[in-house]
Amino acid sequence: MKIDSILVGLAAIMFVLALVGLILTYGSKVSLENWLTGLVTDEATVNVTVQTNAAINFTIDNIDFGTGQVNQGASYALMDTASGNVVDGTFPGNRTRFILENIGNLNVSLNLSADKTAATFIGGSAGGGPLFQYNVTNNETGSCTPAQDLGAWYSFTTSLAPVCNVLEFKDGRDTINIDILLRIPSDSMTGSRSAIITATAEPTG
Amino acid sequence: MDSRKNINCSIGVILFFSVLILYVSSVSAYVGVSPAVYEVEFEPGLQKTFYFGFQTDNEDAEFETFATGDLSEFVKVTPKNFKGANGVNVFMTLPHKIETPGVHKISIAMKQKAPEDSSGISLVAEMRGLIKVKVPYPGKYAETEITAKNANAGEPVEITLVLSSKGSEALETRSTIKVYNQANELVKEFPAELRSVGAGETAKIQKVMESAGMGAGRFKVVSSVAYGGSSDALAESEFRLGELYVGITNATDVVERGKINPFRVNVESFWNDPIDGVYAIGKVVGHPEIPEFRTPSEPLRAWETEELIGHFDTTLIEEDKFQVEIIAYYNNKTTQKTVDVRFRKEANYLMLGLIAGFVIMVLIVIVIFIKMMRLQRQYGQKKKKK
Repeated sequence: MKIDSILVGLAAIMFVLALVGLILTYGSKVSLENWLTGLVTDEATVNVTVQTNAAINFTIDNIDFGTGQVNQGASYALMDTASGNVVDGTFPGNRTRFILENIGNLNVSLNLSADKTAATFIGGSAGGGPLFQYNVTNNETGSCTPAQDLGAWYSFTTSLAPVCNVLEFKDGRDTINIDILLRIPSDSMTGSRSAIITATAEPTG
Repeated sequence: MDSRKNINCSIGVILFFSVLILYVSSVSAYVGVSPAVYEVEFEPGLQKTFYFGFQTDNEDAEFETFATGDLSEFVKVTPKNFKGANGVNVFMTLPHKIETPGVHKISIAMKQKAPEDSSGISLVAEMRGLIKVKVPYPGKYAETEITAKNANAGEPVEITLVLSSKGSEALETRSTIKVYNQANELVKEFPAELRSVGAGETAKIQKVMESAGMGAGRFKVVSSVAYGGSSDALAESEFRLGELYVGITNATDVVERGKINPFRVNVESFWNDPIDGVYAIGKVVGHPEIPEFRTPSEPLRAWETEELIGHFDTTLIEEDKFQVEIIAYYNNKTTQKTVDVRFRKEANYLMLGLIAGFVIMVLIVIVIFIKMMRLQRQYGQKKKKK
């Protein structure tokens, strides 16, 4: 009975910590508020200069496809976050995608790059070799003026690849999805593999 | 004692799963820079300091800064590395001459470093601010921009032409404005007045064009400015001439059987002024026993769309598909459209009930199994004590 009480107590402490962490995560976003007051007695002027602010926000900053292997007899396993499907592999898969929003007051251009290519991230050559690709779609209609076809899969490179010539800042048309596809050959590298994708945003015009 | 143990166990299970759910919730992270853009006119040997305030909500995130792009070799960025939100100073010393005229962009980047213990695929941000250095063109060079305001067919259209002298010499400009319809046919052509523009200066020419005889629709306005350069400066823009017409663009196409349903009608204005009191009436085709329904009146802003909502009862409709005739009323005019509507497929509640019953049964079996295991353990312990 003593052990049960201790376990319940520990679980209660963990619950409170998790709740605090959740509140801090969502409450820590900086908010800017401007007030203007002008007391006009005879004739007065209120001047204001709104500074340009380029900013991007992303929900989900990490995707983990989990632990697994290519099915026996198969040349490769294929998985992507757009469908959540895993073909010919024992990986649990993942339907979580990167979502990126322009929260500034300027349009920006958006580029993607990675620190590894498919060859250095996954390796192998069976079944046509590895794939490490991305697919950009509008989360809100009209958000992205594309530099490449939206909804098409493109391979990551270590140099900047333009994806949106313009990512709008206006609410309701300022958010895109980034899905990831992996093809893991049966002779790929093993062990825990990680890669870093960089989203580069720069004011347009 | 046993009941207290059971209660503790239950609470522990609930709390554990709550913790698990909370820790798989999404992360929100942002990076930004303000001011994002600086513009400066080139001067030989110009020295200037720019401040960029880089923002983030992750105080533990580490960043590195660097300059890239045109003229990046003439700037120095400090600090090179920092944690969390920080200001960055950029010291610029321009050379005495830059051969290539036009706008040169220096990007000041703040790149997030990925956490060392990251696994899987991580996304990091690189935010860039801009310094634009404008190098004048040699001799004469002009850039132009033209805009035209929307109007109603037959009303005057305001056209504004902006002339910018980007070269080192003043300009004497002669402009021509042409208007094309959607079929790309020339419908209007007229000159704008002669205008002098000093080096590095901007001038604005405003014209009013009569649109009588042009009809309604989308038009393209093109300006051509001769200024003594190697070629004329061109600019184009679009504008719309409105007509008093409200289109029905969309309507509800799926409803539920045997009840009163909302029926949504999307309307779009092709008029350059607001239209008050727009409403729609719907009639179910082939069912005179069903009364027609009317939406409330709504104002419709120029060129905007609006949703009108009415309600009707589908109890008397037996077929799976039917049609609704919609008539939109506005300013003593009407627009008519007939749409296809179908009933939503109903859920198979028998199947759902069977599945739910099966799941509950499995849960009961699991609970009974756990209870039996616990009783068996208690019995075994009692036996040992004896």
